[in-house]
Amino acid sequence: MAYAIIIGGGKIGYYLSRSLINRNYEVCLMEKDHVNARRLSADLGDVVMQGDGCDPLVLKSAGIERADLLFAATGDDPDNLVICQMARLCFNRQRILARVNNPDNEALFEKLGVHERLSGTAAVLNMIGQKVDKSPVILLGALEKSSLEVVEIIVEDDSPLCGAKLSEMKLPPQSLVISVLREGEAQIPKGETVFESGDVLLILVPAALESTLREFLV
Amino acid sequence: MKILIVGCGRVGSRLAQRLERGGSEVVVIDENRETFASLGGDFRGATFHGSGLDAPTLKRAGAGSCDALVAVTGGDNRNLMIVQMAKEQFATPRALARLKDPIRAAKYRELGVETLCVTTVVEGLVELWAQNGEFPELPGEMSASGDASALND
Repeated sequence: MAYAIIIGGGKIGYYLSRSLINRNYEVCLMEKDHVNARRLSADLGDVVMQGDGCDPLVLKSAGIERADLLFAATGDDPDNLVICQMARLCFNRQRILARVNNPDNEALFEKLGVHERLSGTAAVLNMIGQKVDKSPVILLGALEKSSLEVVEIIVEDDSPLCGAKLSEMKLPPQSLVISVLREGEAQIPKGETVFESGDVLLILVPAALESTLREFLV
Repeated sequence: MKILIVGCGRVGSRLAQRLERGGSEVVVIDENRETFASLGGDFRGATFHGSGLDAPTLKRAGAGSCDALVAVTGGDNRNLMIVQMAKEQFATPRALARLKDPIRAAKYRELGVETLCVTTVVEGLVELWAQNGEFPELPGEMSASGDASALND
């Protein structure tokens, strides 16, 4: 069973942990804030650990030496950078991934040796699905061969999507809204779902039609 | 000598005043404009309102043309990212990160990042004080017992 340590119990860390648990990963979700950590462990149980992911002793007690993957998923780029650099300096792990919140920081992270970077839930799932061979992840792996892509769209105030009902949306053929992230909850949209500002949509679309979809939606 | 100070808290503002008195050209960056008041009325250096993690702000403040940068914001990780950004993106000749965590300070030094850990410094001074009954002689106006002269201004 592959073991993943996720640092940062925000939305991304939480949903990623939940998805990985469902895919039979062993997971440790590390959260610095005591209150958040208690709230998360009420939901996810023993996989949640309170601690600072920058501290090598904490990482050691989380079992980093046997982990297959470390993902720095906090909402703060300096924290994610230092978590990855410290893990590399102290433990020399191969698979260390950073969430990059501000795209302007991508180049700096690359120069500083954090080569695997992600932004957005879909990209996270996709990357893990492709790269950890031991995992039983098939969902997104199968998509590669069928030339389908998962795209993430954030509904802005002025977007044509804002206030639109799913059943009335004209999406390109063969595309499907697979999930809506709203206020920390992932929902499976129904025909009557009305999209709101701030919703994050995960849409499955044939690669060839992705640009059509973007033109239509944004 | 031109010195860029990122973070205008207690350390940053006093450091700016001291370096200016010592004859350096000083530039200060802080996210919060109100902190610049602590520099005092006779501060002649430039101030830049913005985040030290923002490359355009660092550039405008002269990260590419200063002789040294000192990152003294309240966050260890921010300071570490700022100095690495200065080195990598602006080729700042010297960049020092003030840290609280001794482990991070030691590990980043291995990477070639210059760090100064306040915890370690205090530990060392207190150890000497315990052994010798007094603080060691420090250069110039530095004093381990503090400086309240600002109150008289």
